[in-house]
Parts: sequence; structure tokens; C-alpha cells
Amino acid sequence: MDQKILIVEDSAATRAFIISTLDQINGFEFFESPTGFEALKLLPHHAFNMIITDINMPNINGLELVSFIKNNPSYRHIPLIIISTEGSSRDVEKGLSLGADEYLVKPFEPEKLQKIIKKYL
Amino acid sequence: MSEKDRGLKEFLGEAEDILDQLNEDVFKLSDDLPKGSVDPDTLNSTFRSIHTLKGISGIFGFTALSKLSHNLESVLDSLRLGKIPFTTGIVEILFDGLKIINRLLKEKGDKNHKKTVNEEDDEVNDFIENLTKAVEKASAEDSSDLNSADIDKDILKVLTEYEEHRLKENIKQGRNILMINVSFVLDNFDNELTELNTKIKTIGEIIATLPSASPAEKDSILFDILVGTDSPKDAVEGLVKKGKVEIIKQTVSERPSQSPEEPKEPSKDDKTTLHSEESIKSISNTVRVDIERLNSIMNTVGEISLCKTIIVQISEQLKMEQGFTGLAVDLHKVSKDLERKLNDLQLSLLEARMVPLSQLFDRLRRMVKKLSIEEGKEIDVEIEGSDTELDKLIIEELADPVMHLIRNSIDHGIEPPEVRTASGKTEKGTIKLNAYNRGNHVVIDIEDDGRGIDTEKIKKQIIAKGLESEESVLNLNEEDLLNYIFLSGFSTKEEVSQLSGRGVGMDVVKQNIARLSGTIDIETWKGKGSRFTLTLPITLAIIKALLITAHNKEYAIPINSVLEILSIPRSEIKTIEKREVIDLRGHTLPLLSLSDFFNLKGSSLDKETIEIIVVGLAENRLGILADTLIGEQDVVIKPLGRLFSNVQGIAGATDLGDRKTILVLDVGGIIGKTLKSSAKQEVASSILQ
Repeated sequence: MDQKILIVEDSAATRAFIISTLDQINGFEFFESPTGFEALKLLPHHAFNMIITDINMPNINGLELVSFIKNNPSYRHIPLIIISTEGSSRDVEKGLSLGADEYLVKPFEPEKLQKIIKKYL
Repeated sequence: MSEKDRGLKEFLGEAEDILDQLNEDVFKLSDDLPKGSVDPDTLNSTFRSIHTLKGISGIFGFTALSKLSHNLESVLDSLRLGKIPFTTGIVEILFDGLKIINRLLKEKGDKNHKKTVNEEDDEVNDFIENLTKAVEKASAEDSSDLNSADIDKDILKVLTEYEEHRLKENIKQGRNILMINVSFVLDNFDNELTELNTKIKTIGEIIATLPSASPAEKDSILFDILVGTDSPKDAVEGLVKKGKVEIIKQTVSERPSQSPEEPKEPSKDDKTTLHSEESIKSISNTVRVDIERLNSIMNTVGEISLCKTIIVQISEQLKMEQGFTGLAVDLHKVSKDLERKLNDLQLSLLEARMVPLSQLFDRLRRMVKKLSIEEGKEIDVEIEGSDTELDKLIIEELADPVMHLIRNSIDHGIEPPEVRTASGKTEKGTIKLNAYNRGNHVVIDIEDDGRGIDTEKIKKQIIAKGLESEESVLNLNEEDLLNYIFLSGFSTKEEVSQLSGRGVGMDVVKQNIARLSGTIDIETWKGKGSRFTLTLPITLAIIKALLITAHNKEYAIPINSVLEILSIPRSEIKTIEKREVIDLRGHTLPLLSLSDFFNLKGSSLDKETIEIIVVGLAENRLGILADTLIGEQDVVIKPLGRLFSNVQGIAGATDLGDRKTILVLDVGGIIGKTLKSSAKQEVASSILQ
């Protein structure tokens, strides 16, 4: 069965980029969610194998999402990657201290993302 | 389409949306400027937009764009964190930055574009230099680093830098910091939460929304909403009803009850939040479709409608041969049904292409704002009828000519403030944009209250250029004189200003409008202002055309431009100064033979009566000679391609369904060329006399 990856990111172009990067490795099913709200709704309905989230997003931010996931016994185990933009290192630090497993800084090399994914899946 | 192309398309689409949002936000910020404080939400939205743009341009490897947005981002970040004050200089530099982004994006979308990476880099580096200067100039005040140590560390942990800044800012302003704890059913929490947020926003600012799982119930979700407000805790509790309100930091003392004027404010805020709710809905319900894709659907529908025409013909034939019984009846019914449904389909497709003119008007308003700052003139923009709808393609093609007209108004029309007050006018100039429907057309008026167009200057220029003699100029009426400004190379300004003089003249404006099958009229009042009136068809996609034959060839004439059809005996045609004319209700109507116009050989039918199609564009009338009238039909005009782009008088080709391709006449072009050459003839003959 395909491994399920949830991508939380408000930019459609970035989502498309992530998907096209990971699509080169077989065996993934992608779930896209442009807001944190939608991610919260999707979480109980699928057993995700990986979550990739942006930090700067409307309604709830990526850090709040990380905190929610990592404090929740049902989701705590899911590997989580945060994606931030250059210059927001403080936000990355916070994300890692909240329990995010990996981080990437935009713009990133596709290989970098592939490497991280292969480490977990 | 390759994955890469698809990616680029996705990128351009998103970047364009971001740029639109940015323009709107920066415009809003510049409006807030005189009030002394800018809206933190707008400023943050600006930051988020540029942040996203930087992210995606980096991903797609557009280094110049990414560098530019990176620099803008750090400035906006400092602005939103209060490290740099917001000034007019900053607004100007932001607008400049958006202009460069716009240009870079346009060039990315243009396949023929050959600008090197170095050229892009230079442009961006120049801008960054200016940006740094502007920031240096603006920054003087230090951000106060307020201690937020007395806020729970667990809360601080999940706040982004910006949210933290907003928290500090709220504390600094002496507001109560409250935590509202609510629980919702998981399936429907977003609607309920949005509703609650709307209420909260009437009394304060939502700093952060923190979700947490409910330990007790599996189907519910908890939220901690961090709020900064001037209202006391009990007032918030009364508003929220459901949920627990907890004080994090209290600075505002409890008040027994709300003051009477307070309900008034929420109602105003209600409006804005209601609006934002609407916009959330529209985003999820809207699909962004490439106009090319709509075009291709439209083409297919056009082709289906040709099949329909054939079916109708077969049905008619069957009726004739077998009488109106059996199969003939069935086929007749089905073909009628098909016709109706196809009409519906065409209509809804046309509607899908329609966008409100506000898309264009909003851009124009921003442009006026920016240009008037540059020119040191104060100009108000009044907009009416921005909900009037036009085909998206027409709106896009319209942008440049309309912008040019407005530039002209700002540059030459509206006087500097001191001149205006001296002549008894208000200091502020006004540009009015008004759009409305008239039949199958949309009319757009662009009016200014400036000095008007000086017809005396036009006369001098006509004589200086040797276009008319001094005597004949005296005979020209105002309308004729004004028409000269549409001639290529004709300008009444000796020195071309930085504003209008961008290599585009009024002749190009007229050509662009004519290409859209539109017309442009000018009215001017000396010392009071001018008005340009653009009349445009609502859509170009499918048009009704009149099919005719002339000299054994078939042509389609857009029915929009057909005024009337006459059937007259050949003997009524007279020849005046080598031109065939008829007398139409007391006016002389010049006639045109299409085979003469296109230099074709071919014989006309030898008929006693002849058909004349009277076509008109604005004030000009012309009678096109036809041998027979075939009928009316919906046609989809397809371009002839670049090879034939300089053939005058042809708008394109169309397929009639019987696999026959015929040419569609460009009435505007034919009238223009015919009347121009007749004017020359008149001049020539007057010289001979």
C-alpha cells in the first residue's frame, strides 16, 4: 500500500514542487492542505506516514500545528518536516524544540528533500 | 505540456495573484499613512505575500526575482515588527519594487524574451541600493524591546516571531491579554471557529490560535485563542458565551458594563470581517482557468455548432423530400433541442470569460496614485460601474491603451495645483472612470477636469507638418482636428515628457482599440477637461455575422458593424469624383467594391438590383456592394497567422460547417483605409484645381 504524505503549505506552486520532487520516488500518496485548519480535519481520517508543513501560514501557523501533532498521542509518532524561508531561523529553532524531526530552508534542492524522505520512509 | 511548463504556468499564475494582492495591500497602506498608523493585518499580509513569492521564485530558480523579494521581505519584516517606521518614502520604494517584480514576471512569461541574467541582476541591484537608502532615511526610531517574560513560556514557544511582536505590541498599548479556551466538534470546527473569531475581532486582536487535542472526547478539538483587547474579561465572556476566558495579563480594569458607544464599533468591524468571510468562501469555490483553455473549449463549441447547422440543413432537406412526417419530425425536434442547448452552452461559456472591469479599474487607480505622487499633482479617481463585465481577453488588451490615455491626462491634462487654484479650480484634479452597458457594447468614459486639448496647437502642428494648407485648416471642425491626434508621429508637445513619452502614441492607442473592434471618441472643453469614450464589444469569441457573396466570393461581415441593408436598382449609383456613391436619405454614402479593395479579378453578377450593406464605425459610414445575401450565422473568428498579419481589411477566417473556409471582413480597417485614400484624393483634386 502507498505511504501517505500530508503536505501543509498555502502556496500551490510549492505544493506542486514538493509533489513533483517526491513523485520521482514511487509508492506515495499525497494529501494537500493549504491551511492548518484543513490539516487538523484531515488528520483523524488518514493514517499519515509523513507530514511536511510550512511555518508561515494563515489561521494557524506551522509551529502551532507541530505543537498540536507532537502533543497528541495519536499523531506523535509521525515524522514531521518543517519548511521555512531563509532568515527565519528562530522559527526553525522553535519548531525543532516543539518536536519537529527535520527542517528544510526554502529554496531547497529536490535531492535534499528526497534524502530526508528516504531516511524515514 | 511538460511538467516543467506546467510548473512555470502554475508559478506565473500564483505569482500574478500574489502581485495583485501586494498592490492592493501597499495601496491600502499608503492610504492609511496620513492616519499615523497602518493596519497590522495588511502589513502582515504584505509580508506574507512577498515571503511566498520569494519562496516560489527560489524554488523555480529565478534568482533575480528571489533576490529582489528577499530584500523586500526583510524590509517588510522590519516594518511589521516595528523596527522601521512606515513613511511616504517607504511606500514609494515599495511601489517601485512591485513594478520591477511585475516586469520580471512578464518577461518570464514571454518566450521570446532574451534579457540576460546579468541585465536582470543589474536592475535588481540598482533597486536594492535605492531600497537600502530609503530604509536608512526612514529608520530612526528604535523598536522597544518589551519584556514579555511574564507570559507563560508554553505559549511563547509556539508563537512565530511576528505573533510574538504582536503580543508585545498589545502589551505595550496597555491592552488586556486574554486566553479563550473553547472546544468544538472536529468535523465542523472551522466554521464555528471562524464565527467566533469574527465576534472576537469586534473587541480586539487575535494574536494566535493554538489547537490542542481534547483528552476526554475523541471527536472534538480544543483551541486556545490568544487575544489582546481593551474590553474587560466579563465583557469578553459575555461575547463568547461558550468557552472559558482566562486572563493572561491584565492592564485594563474591570468595567461594570460596556459603554453605550461600544456596540457601534463592532458593527463597523462586523462589516470587514463579514467581507473576509465572503472572500474565504469565494476562494474555495473558484477555479482558476487559463483563458487559452476557455478559448479551446469555445472553439470546440463553435465547431459543434457548425455540425448543428448541418443537421438543421439535413432536417430541412428531409422535410422537403418526405414531407413533415416520421423521421423528419423527429429530426426536426431533436435539432431544435440541440440548437437551444447549444445556445445555453455558448452563453454560459461566454459568461465564464466575463470579468468585472474592477480588475482593470483597481489597477488604474493604483497607477494614478503612484504617478500623481511622482508628478507632484494631487488627483482623485472617481470610479463608476466597475461591476460592468467584459471578456477577460478584452480587458487585458485594454489595459495598455487605457493606461496611456490616463498617463496623458495626468501629464498634459491636469494642471499643477498652483495653476489650478489660479484658474479658480479645486487644487485636486479628478479623473473619472465610468463604465456602462449599451446594447451589445460596453462603453468606458475616461474623463479629466484638466485644461482640455488645445485645438489651436493641433492646427499649428497640422500646418507645420504639411498635412494641410493654412486655408484648409480653417475649414476643419473640432472633430476633424481632434482626429489628427490619432495620426502616427503627431504630437502637440514639443518635448516628450517622461510620463507619456514611452514610444507609444495615440495612433497605437487607436489601433489597439480598433483591433478589439472598438471605437474611440474624444470630446474636449477648453480649460475644463476632456473625455475619451471607448466603445467595445462585450466579447470577441463568438460573433454573429452576415454572410454575403461579392464577385463570386463569400465573405462574413460582423453584424455588430452592419447598420442596414439596402436593395436598390443599379441605376441609382452615381459617380462623383471617380467614386461610386448613392444618395441615402439626403446624405452621400460612398460605396466600396470588395474586388477593388482587395485587387481581385472577378465579375459581378449582372443583376438589375444590387445589395448594399451599410456599415459604420463611429461617425463613418460606408456601403459595401454585395451580389447576394446568404444569411446570418454565428461564427468563431480564427486569426490568419503572422504571415498575413499585414493584410488590411481582413479580421480572420471562419469555418462555415460545410468545410468551407471564408474570410471575415475587418470593417474598421476597411473604412479607415477607404476614407483615408478618399481624403487624399480630395486633397489631390483640390490641388489640381
